[in-house]
Amino acid sequence: MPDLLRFKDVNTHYGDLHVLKDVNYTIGDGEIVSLLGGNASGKSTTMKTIMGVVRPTTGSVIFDGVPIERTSTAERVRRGIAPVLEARRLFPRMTVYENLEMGAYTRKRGPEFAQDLERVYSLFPRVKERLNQISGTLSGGEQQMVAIGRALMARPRLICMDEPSMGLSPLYVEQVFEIIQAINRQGTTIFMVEQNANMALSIAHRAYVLQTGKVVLSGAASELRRDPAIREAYLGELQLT
Amino acid sequence: MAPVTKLFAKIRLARRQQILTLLVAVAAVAFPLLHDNDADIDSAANAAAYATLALGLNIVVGFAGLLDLGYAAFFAIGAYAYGILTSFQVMPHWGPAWEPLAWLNLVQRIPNPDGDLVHFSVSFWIMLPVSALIAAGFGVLFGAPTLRLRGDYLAIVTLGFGEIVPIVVRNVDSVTNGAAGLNGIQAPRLFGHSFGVAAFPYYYVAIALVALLIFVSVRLRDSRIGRAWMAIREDETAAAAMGVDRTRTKLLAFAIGAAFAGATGTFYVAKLQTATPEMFGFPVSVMILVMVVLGGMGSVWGVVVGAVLLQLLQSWFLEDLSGWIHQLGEAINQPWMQQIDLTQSIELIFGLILVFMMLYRRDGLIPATRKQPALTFEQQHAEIRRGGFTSLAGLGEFAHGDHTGLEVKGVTVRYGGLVALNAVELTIPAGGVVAVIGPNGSGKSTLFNAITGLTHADDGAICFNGEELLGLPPHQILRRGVARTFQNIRLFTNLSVLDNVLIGQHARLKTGPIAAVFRPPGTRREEAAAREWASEILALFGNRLLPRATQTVSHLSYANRRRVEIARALASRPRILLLDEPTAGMNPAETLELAEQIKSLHALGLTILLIEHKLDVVTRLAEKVVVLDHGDKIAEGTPDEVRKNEAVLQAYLGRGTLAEGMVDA
Repeated sequence: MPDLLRFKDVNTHYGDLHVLKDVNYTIGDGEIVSLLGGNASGKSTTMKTIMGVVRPTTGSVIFDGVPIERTSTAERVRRGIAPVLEARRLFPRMTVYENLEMGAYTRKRGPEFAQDLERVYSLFPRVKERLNQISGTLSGGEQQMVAIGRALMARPRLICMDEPSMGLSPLYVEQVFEIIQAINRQGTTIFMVEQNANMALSIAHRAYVLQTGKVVLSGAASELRRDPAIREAYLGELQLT
Repeated sequence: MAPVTKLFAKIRLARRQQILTLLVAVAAVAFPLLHDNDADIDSAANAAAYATLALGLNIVVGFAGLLDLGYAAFFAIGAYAYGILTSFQVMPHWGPAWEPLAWLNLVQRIPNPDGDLVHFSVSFWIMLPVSALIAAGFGVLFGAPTLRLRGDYLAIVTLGFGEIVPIVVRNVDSVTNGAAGLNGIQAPRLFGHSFGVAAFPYYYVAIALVALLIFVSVRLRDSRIGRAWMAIREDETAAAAMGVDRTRTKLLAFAIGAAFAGATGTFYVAKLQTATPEMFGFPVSVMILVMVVLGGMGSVWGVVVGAVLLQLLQSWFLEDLSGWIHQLGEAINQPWMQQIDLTQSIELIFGLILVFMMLYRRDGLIPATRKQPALTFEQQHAEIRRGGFTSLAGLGEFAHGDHTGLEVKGVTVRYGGLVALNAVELTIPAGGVVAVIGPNGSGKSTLFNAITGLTHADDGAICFNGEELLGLPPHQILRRGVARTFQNIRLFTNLSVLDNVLIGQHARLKTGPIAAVFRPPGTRREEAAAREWASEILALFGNRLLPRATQTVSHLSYANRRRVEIARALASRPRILLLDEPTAGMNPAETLELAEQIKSLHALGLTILLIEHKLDVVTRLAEKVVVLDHGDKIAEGTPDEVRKNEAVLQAYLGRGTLAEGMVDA
C-alpha cells in the first residue's frame, strides 16, 4: 500500500511549550487509521499540524510524496486533505446547502459537483431533507452529518476527523461510525482522533497511541484492541469503585 | 553589552520589572533637568496627558472590551468643568448665600457698579478629583442606557455621545462661550505661586498623574474587579453565569475610564488656559484609541508607551524628519523635497502605523498576554487517577444538604414557533444526583439555560430552596448556589487557568474598586484565601491542571478545558452543580476518572444535575434519570427502568446498543 501521508520527526511548540516530540506517522492510501491517547497528549495538535493551523518547528509532513508543511491550509485542501473539525464548526448562520457548497469551494463548479451532492445525499438522507435549514439550528448529530458531508464535497483523498462522535447520542454514534466505514470503502483514506476507543479500534485498520506528545505504540487495530495495557489505559476496563 | 543582558536575564521577572520601572521613573524625573528646552518639555507634558487618557480608555476597551469611540467626551467634560469654575465666563450676582463659599476660597466677590458679581475660583487641586467625579457621573449617565448593547452597536452609540458633547458645548454660549471657547482659565497655584506659562511644573504634575493612574490601573487589573472586566470581555454570558453583575461591572469600567479622562481634561486646560470645542472632537477619540491599539489593548505599560510615542512623533520626530528631508533635498538639488511637511500628513502616518501593526504585531508593542511557559515532561505527563477524592475543605458547609432541592414545575420554553421545552417537570432532592438524557436537540441544554437564567421561560416555575429562580438575572441565581458548566465550553479563553477559577469565586468575594486600589489587609487576606481555594480545586485533578495554572486556557486540550469549567463552577461554592456533558471528549478511562470525581463531589454533599450521553456514567452516578425528546419528558425512573423503557429505546438508545452491550459508548 503506497503512503498517502507521512509525519517525519515532527516537533511542534506553543510558545515555549513543547507538544509533539519527534512524531512519526505513516498513513497508507485507503486505510482507516485511528489516533488514540489521553487528553493533552497532542492528538488535536496532530490534526492542526496536518491542516496547517499549527506549523511544525522541525520535521516534515509529506502528503502524496510532497512536503506540505510550508503550504497554506487552503493549498492543502486543494491537494486533497479535508478536515472534519472538533466540535463540528459549521458555518452556523448559513443553510445546510450553503455549508455543502463551501465544502466544494476549492473546486470548479461542474457536473462533478452534482455527483458529489448526490453522494452526500445517499450517505445522509437526513441532510437532503434539511437543505434549506440554517445549520446552527440543527441538532448535534445532524450537524455532524453536515460536517462530514461538507468534507466530502472537497473530493478529498484524505479526511482528518477530530472526535467525530463527541457529544452525540448513542444512536448517532453508531451511525457516524457506519458512515465512516462506508466512506472508506468508497476509497477515501481516513485519519481520525477519537476518544471512543472501542468504536475507533473496531473500524480502524491500524492505530497509533500518543502519550504526552510521543508515539508510544502503534500497530494493527485488532492487536491493539487485545493489548491489556491499552484496555486499561484507554478502554476503561477497570470497574468504577 | 552581552554580559549585561545575560546578567539581566538571570534576575527574576518581577525584580526585572521593578528595575525597569525605577529606571523609567528616574529618566522621567530627570528629563527637564537635563534637557532645558521649554517647547520640548511642553510636548512631553502633552504626551503624558495623552498617556493618562490612554490609560483610562484602556480600562474601558482593553480590560472590559467595550469599544468606546466617543471617549473624548469625558475629556471635554473634565476640561469644561474646570474651565467654567475658574474663568470669568459664568458670573452670577453676589448674594449672602455665596458668603460661606468665599470663606472656603471657592469664589471671589468682584466689585461691579451694577451690583457685585461672583467669580468662581476653585483650586486646581480640588478640581482634579472633582472633575474626575463629574466625568464618572456622566460615564454612568451615558453608560446606563447603552451598555446593554454589544460590540458594534455600543461603538455607534458612543460615537453619538462623542459628537453630542462638543455640539452642546458649541451651542450653550452663556456657559461655554460657544465656538470661541473659554479664555482666561486659571493656572494652578501651589504654595501661593502660580504655574504660569513655564512648562516644567505642568510636566511634573502630568508625570505624577501618569504614575498614579498606572498604579491604579495595575491594582485594578490584578483584583477581583479587573478579573470581572476581563471575564465580560471574553464571554459576557459565561461571566454572568459565574456571578458577575454585567450592568454594574460595565458601568464601573465606564465610570472609572471617564474619571481618568475628566482629571486629564482639567489638567489639560489648566495648562493651556483655554478650552475650545475643537479640542475634544472625534479625531481626538480616534487618536486615543490608536494609542491603545498601538501599545497593546489591556496592557498598562503598553498604552503608556503607545501614547507617548504617537504624541512625540507628532511634536518632535515629524518636524525633525521634515527638516532632514528639506536638507537632503537641498543637498541633492531636488526642490520638490523642500515642499514635504510630514506634520501635515499626521493622519496618513497614523493610518500607516495602524495597518502595519495589524499586519505584523496585532497584540501591540507590549502585548498584555504572556508567552506560554515551558513545562517539563513530568508536568505534561498525566496518568489516570482512580478513586476520586475524599476531602475538599474549601467547599465548606455551603454544599451540605441544608436546602430543599430544586423543583422545575411545568417549564415551557419557545423559540419562535419551536417548542424547545414543553411543560417539563423535574425534582432534584437535596443531596441527590439526577441525570437528563435524550437525543441531540431534545431540550436538555435549554433546560439548563432556563434554570440558570440564560433563557427566558414562557411558562412554569423553577424553585430552588423554596425561592423562585425564574426572572432572576444569572448572577443572582449563581449567588443562591446554582452553578453550571456549558456543553460547548465557555471559558474565558485568553485568561489563565487560575484566573478562570478565580472568576468563579467572584460572587463569594467582596473586594470593591476602592479596596482593590488600596489593598487593605482584609483584601489581601481575601485574595490569598481565594488563590488557596483555587489551587485546592485545581489539585483535585492531579497534575492535569495545577502545573498549567498560569497557562492560557486556549492552549489546553479539550478535556482539560472541561475540567477547568468544572473547577470554575466549583469555585463559586455551589449547593447544586449543573454539569452539561462533563465527559465529552474524554476516552473511557478518563471518563471513569471524572465520573469518580463527580461521585466524590456528591459524597461531599453537593447536589448534582447531569446531562450525559455516556450511559455507563449515567447508570453509575444517577439515582434518577429523566429522558427528554423534542422538549417533552418521555420517561423518568431509575437508570435500569429507563434503559428498558420502549419509548427511550426508540428515541434514543437504539436497539443495537442494548443487544451488543455497548452501553459505554
